[in-house]
Amino acid sequence: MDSAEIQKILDDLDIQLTVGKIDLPTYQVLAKKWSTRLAIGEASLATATYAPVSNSLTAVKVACPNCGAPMGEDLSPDRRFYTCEYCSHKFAFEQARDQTEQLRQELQGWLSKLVSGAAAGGNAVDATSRAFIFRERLYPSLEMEFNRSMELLEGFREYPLYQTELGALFRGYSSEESPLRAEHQQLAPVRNLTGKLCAPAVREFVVSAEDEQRLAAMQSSTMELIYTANIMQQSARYCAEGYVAARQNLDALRDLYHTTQKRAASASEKQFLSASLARLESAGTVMDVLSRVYSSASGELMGSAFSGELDTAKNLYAQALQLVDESGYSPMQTVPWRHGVEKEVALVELQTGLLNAYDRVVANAGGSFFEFQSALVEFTRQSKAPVADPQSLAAVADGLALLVEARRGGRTLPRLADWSWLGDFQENNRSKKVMFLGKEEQIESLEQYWQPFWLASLSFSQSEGALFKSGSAKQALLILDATSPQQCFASTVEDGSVLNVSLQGASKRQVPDQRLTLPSLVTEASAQIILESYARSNPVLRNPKVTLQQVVYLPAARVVYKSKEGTRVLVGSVISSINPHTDQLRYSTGVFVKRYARA
Amino acid sequence: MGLLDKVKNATGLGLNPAESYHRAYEKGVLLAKYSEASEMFGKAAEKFQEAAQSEGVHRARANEYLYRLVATKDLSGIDSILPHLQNLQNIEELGSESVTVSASELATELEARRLENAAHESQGDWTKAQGFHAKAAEKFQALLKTKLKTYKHVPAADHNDSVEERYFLNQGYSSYYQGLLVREADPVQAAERLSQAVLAFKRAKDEALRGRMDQNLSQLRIKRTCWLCHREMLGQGLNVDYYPARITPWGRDLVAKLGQDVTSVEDGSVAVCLSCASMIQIQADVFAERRVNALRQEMLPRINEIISAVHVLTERIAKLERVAHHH
Repeated sequence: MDSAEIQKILDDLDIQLTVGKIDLPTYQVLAKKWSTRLAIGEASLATATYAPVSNSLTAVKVACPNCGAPMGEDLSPDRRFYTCEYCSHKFAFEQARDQTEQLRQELQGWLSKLVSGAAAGGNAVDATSRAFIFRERLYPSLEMEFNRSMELLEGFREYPLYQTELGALFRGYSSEESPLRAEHQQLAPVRNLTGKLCAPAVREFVVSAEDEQRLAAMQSSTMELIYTANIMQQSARYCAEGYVAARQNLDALRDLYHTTQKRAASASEKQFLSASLARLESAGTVMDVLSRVYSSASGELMGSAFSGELDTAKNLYAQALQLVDESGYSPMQTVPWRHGVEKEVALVELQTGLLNAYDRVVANAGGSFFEFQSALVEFTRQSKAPVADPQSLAAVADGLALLVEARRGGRTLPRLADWSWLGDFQENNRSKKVMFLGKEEQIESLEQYWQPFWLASLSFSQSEGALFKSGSAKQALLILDATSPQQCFASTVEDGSVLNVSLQGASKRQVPDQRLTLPSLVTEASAQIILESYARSNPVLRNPKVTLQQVVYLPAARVVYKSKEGTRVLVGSVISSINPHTDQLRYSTGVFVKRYARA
Repeated sequence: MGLLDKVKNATGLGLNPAESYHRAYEKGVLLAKYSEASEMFGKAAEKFQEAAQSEGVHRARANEYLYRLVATKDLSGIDSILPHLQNLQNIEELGSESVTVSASELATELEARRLENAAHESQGDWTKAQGFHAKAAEKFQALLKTKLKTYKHVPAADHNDSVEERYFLNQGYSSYYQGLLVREADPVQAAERLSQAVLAFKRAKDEALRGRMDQNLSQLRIKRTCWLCHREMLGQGLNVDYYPARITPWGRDLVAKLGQDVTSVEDGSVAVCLSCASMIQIQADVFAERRVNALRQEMLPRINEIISAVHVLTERIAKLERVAHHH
């Protein structure tokens, strides 16, 4: 803008003050501003100041009636149906036309209410008045609408951008819980607002670069919501097309972030957007992997073929997290963003774990990845294994893969291979008639299997001596049944006892026999807490210190005794504290291992 | 061990400093008699002093005060332990005679505990509490690669499992108090501090505190237009709140038609900013007090009359009762 134009604005201001169109304080503020600009020869006004006024000021851009994303092509009555490339929504020409018209009318009504008498922009009102109207009337109204729309949707950053089939089973990881899907109806005002923000009639009032910036920031936020909602929805379809559409939205989001980054005023915002771009690249890689996984008709894959890409995605996530930590950007943005990214990392780790476990369980036998996923879910359902997050599901998948490999003879497990106790156990617990009294039981069935236990060393102190009591330091072993995360089945094995020696020997790894081996359902961290609590609750064990060693597999047997009075079940092992309630776990493990270990 | 040795060990008489020190373990620590252990370490320290063995003195004194802390759970005792730990490279782990830990790491943990305790006692003074928590977090940060050394024997209310949890817990509280300190002057900055507290409490694995912070944060981020002055106010419960009011569906529709803030109207209440609301409340109180005073002035003569009448009646009844009693 040259000096003559600025001078014209100043002249206009004089006239407006004279005819009472603006008050003195407004005049003084504006006159000072333009005089300063004139003095320093600044020419930063937006080109829109003197843009020719469109005949249809209240026209709105054509957008998908479902998601509000911009249409890549203009609507034509010659073509009846369209498909949105962002949300895959199919719609008729009339539907889009009607919606656009409705939005246009709403916009017209809104403008006429706020800008009555100002002839809705254009050359009829000069640039200064337009700027004034924008700041005093349009922007506050748009800002309020924006704030209220964002209020319920704000929490969306806490959630992962995308959803995976098994990841969605966990609280906080399913996009169904994200406000963008749970409060889906709140997206309608966002779509309307986007229409307003893009409308030429509103743009006509944007005169200064500063106003342009504020409007663009708002528009960028609403578009971010629209694309993110699409990513969540499309990825939740669990099909190749869904992941491809999610990728399309990720690309649109990337372009949006690039544009926003160029405009960003602060270095911290620029870096936050760099972190967001790194996250999108990572998410794009994951979408590519998933679209390829789900495009396989048979579901037979080479899981390891994807591990390189998923590792790259994890590295990119790490970079994104580092960038955001160093950005110094507002924690109100970065903290929920971080939570969302951390969940995506957990989803990638789960996917990597699943593909890895799948490779191991199918080995040479072949089999569908999707069937493997179903079998895993079925196992957790039947066994009631406590899987509270993606990490624990990955651990269960890994544990089952280990058992299948061991059954095939490909892996060794630390075992105490001693069944010598079994004969005495069966016989000593069997009821016998004595002098025609009591009942005579027979053994109806015997099931032998391997039960996992966490082994830990325990150091503690103990009182010794009768007359001259003193304390001495002791060592023992602690053992915890790893099939029971809820109820504690733990026992202490004294130093020097036969069992202690045997258990120390159980750390030797052996190829298991064909008896069923149960998986460990208690994590290392849980085992440490349970055993510490157990040791502290025992008053004999003073100053206890627990050091966890490893999971060992001990022989266990389920004996069914039968008499005239009915049947009786007894479960035993080399130790007395054992979880006897493993019926469901044995069944579900048996089904899983039988299915995959047959090769 | 001969009978004489047993007697010496049982009574503690005639033992040299090292034997006396060992006795504190045998007769105290390993029997979980921590108060007695503390006393025995004290006696051992005196013997080391007499023998001019300064390291022994510091070790025994440090243990004397450490086990007093274990026995009493009184964290003010930490001050006595620290000077002795500063003179030691390592010291026996609590509850063990054979395993040692770094004395400087133990000292740092105890300093952090002292700061945590000071923060706990300063809950009403947000500036002090924030400062203590921030300093405690700094101390724990230096220990992140180590294990907690005293929390098993002297547990805090919660988070006794790892240094990491304690570090994030203190960081979370520090951010929370920072938020409280600035919220009246700058709700946006307060919200930023609360966001940091949310992250810290999440990492401390404290879902209850995280939930509380989340709730505070979402309240603080809410903007509403004041029904009276039409200003856009930030921070529900702080700068703006809902007050009971009657509004018809027509009135509600009118707000929408005028393009005004429909969220400022809720079922039977409207959003009013703190200034407008308090102005009305204060003025209403003034009016109410004035009316009460006027009524009191108006009623006082009548009340006095009634009180006099009651007095007269009471006296007459008493007189009648006395007469009846004589008969």
